[in-house]
Amino acid sequence: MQDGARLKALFGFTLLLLFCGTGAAAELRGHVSSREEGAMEGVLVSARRAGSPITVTVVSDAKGEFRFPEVSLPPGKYEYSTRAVGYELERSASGGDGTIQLTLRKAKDLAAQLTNTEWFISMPGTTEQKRPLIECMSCHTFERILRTKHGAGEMFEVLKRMTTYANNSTLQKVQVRKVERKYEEQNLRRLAAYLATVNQSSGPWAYSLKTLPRPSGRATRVVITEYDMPRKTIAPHDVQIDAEGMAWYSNFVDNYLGRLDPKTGAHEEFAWPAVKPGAPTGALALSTDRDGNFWLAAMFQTGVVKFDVRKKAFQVFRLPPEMNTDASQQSMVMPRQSHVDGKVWTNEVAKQALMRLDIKSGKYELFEPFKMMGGSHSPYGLVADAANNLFFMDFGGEAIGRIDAKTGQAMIYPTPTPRSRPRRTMMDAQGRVWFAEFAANKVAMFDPAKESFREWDAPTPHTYPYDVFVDRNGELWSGSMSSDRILRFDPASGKSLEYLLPRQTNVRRVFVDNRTKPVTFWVGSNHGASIIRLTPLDERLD
Amino acid sequence: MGGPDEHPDEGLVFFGYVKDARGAPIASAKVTATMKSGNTFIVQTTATGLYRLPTFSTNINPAEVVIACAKEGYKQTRVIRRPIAKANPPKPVETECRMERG
Repeated sequence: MQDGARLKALFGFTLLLLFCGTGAAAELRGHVSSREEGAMEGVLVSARRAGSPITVTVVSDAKGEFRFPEVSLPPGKYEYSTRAVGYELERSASGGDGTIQLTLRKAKDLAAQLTNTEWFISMPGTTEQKRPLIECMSCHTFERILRTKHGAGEMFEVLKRMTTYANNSTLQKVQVRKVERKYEEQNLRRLAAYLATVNQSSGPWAYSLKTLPRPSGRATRVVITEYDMPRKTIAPHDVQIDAEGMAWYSNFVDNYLGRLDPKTGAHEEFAWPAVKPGAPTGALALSTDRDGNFWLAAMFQTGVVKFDVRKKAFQVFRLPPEMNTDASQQSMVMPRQSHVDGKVWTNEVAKQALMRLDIKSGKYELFEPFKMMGGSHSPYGLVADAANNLFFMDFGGEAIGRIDAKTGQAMIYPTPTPRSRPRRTMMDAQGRVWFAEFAANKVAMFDPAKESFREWDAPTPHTYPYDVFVDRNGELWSGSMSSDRILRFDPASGKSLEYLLPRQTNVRRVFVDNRTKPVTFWVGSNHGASIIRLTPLDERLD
Repeated sequence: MGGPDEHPDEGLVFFGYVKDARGAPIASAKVTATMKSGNTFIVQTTATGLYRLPTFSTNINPAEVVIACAKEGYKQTRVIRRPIAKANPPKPVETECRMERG
């Protein structure tokens, strides 16, 4: 790929410099248009002050007008960029009245702008042929696959190589597993043969590239702030906001707990010690206990790690040698109700099992609800109720489970939709369990009192929601791992909208700060080394 | 790569109907399948009284999986297990659960 195409693939839009000295009290606003459409709605316009790690983005309305709220942009020299699929920024000019006029032209390289969802809807093939690709997008975009010229044989070798990489790999930091992932050769060969029909092994793509519509109406009423991390290798996975408004995050590829001050952009890292030298580094889940201490699931480093926020000190809870294999992996941790019984829940991916840590003794117990069950199971997202009973998502399968804290017995509740692959979860104040059905393209709720489910479709096909968060108004927030869109959904009315993010964003854990008005949505850009704050201008969808 | 979607479902499926004394289907009844370990699978019947429990390993002896049904206002009267055919891959195991009001 040429450098220009690579740059566009990375940012998803084009860059153009414009120097603008805004007065302290002036509101920065402008207009965006193209020859093809005239005034353009739903164009994301981003502004970044020279040298700043902070980028602010707004969206043009039906008249093609956009404006940055006064408080979001201090005076200075700004660099502008846009995102509107099919278009790129041709020129920008200052209007006589201090406004900015942006002119877009048709994009020279549409493929470099497509999201994975747009590739999914563009590529010919059956749902079953495309289904295995949802594993690929954890680490990279499909553009990377589809620009290759590999035939089926070469593609099979590439796929085999992929099984040697750790889940916590990014393009910026590739990590090799100590033990290869298991795979069925015939399935991998089938996928390789399919990919060789949709890549460029037989020449240019023989199918047309389809795009999703740009945001419109209320989906344009938003301000998005991106905070770039000081290193491109930082992969913020789970982000949450503490009582002081600080954003804390787990770093998926390095043994650091990170903290960002959104007011100033100041960034600090707290290093936790290597637990298993030579194994892939980094943590996945970040969760708090009642006292506001942070807990990390140490992935291939194994075990769980506690960060005492007052002492600024880490405590590592290692797996005992007999439980610790080269394949051991803790992706989740649930300390939320540990004050009840002194116990913290986690998972053991290598055994399709759950574990419970006794904080005082440091001992782990193993729970194997799927032992002797066969099939594909993988306990993933965790949440505990008031009595520290555990609810877990069977990400490998199609159920959510409950483990009784006292008896250790498991109850397994299959979701109404088969092969749904429930992923991350949260519990609301009524004790209801909200979760994303990743492979079913749905968000769902399980009511433990009624032992019943409700499911809602994501409005866009191939959204692949990773997580869901219910806010103080009862509205749901979720993010797509493939379309760079944040879903806002009212389960009562069925109304929804999708906010488009300014850059390619591999959305994982989502968080809503309920203390602001309107609420504020936060997410890490796992592949893009940034933390994103999304401020809707509307308190409610209605 | 090598994720769950690489492994299509295989193994035993439990399914059947929940019916009342006259043979009419009972919707939204709770059906439990309890294994020897004490771990339990729980599903609800559809509008036609049908339930389906996903795949169990072929290592599990279907005779050791206890099927039961429940719904408010009803009590379980009979559980009828159809003869289990030996086959590879295994055939689904059909179990009917009868309830009456009371």
